[in-house]
Amino acid sequence: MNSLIIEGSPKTPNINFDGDEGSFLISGRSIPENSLDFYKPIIEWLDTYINEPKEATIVNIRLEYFNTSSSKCLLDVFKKLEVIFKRGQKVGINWYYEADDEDMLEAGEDYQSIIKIPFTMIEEE
Amino acid sequence: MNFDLNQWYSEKIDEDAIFDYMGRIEDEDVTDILHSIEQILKDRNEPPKLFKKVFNVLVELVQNLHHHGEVPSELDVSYEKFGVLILRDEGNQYRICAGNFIKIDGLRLIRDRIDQINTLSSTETQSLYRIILENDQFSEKGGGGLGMVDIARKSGNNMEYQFFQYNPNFLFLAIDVII
Repeated sequence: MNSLIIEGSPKTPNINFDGDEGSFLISGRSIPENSLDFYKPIIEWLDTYINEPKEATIVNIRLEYFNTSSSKCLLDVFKKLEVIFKRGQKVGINWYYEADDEDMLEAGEDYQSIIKIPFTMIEEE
Repeated sequence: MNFDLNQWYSEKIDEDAIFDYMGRIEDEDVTDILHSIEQILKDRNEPPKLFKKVFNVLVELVQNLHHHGEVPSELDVSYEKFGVLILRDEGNQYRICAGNFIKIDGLRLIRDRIDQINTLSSTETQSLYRIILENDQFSEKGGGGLGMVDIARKSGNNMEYQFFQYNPNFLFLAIDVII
């Protein structure tokens, strides 16, 4: 499957979803005014991916900031992947946060409490 | 007597104000405002934890202005989104003041929402955030009511607010967040 690559901007994250490897990365900052517009093609790409997913899918979230408008969209991303996890396929989410950034850690824990996919919280210096 | 926006604004801009903006809040203005404030905070060498908290809260407040900042006709401007943002360094705390016009019929909704959030403990704020996040009913604007809860959660303080009567149809809402 094709990859989805979207270059980051001051308000939108880098997206690098490698469909062949099942390795997904969202990094940078996600603070657009209208997150629904930004995440729409990502959700559409995932709709295709979940029909023919890799045996293992790893998602790396390395966000510096995200706004509340993006938080729902991120949940939508995770919900799409939860579909294949519930089908018995391997999915994992690595949630990176900077040391001392309790807010980002808590944000990861929010998703962890809602989504059934295993989360790994990774503190970075 | 009706509210005098310019007088209110000038009284807010004292020596503690390290950033102030009054005017149009379109997409590009949001970008410029956030960029300017980020630079100011960088230049002040704030610890990353405080820096991120202040910036996160600012993002939500500025985007609130973008989504909800109405323009009464008396303002006589050609754009449709108006807001005020002031960042103050009060020595041991930052105070962010965000102001915008709202239609009078929106008063109760906003006031009740802030009052409700202000009564919550930090654990309750976290629970409310998760409930709203999990709830699929998000507005077209995408926020789904999370913004205010997020501001309260990140700042760890109650939001202070004031409403001023501007004309028969509009109020000016000023919200202060302390970090």
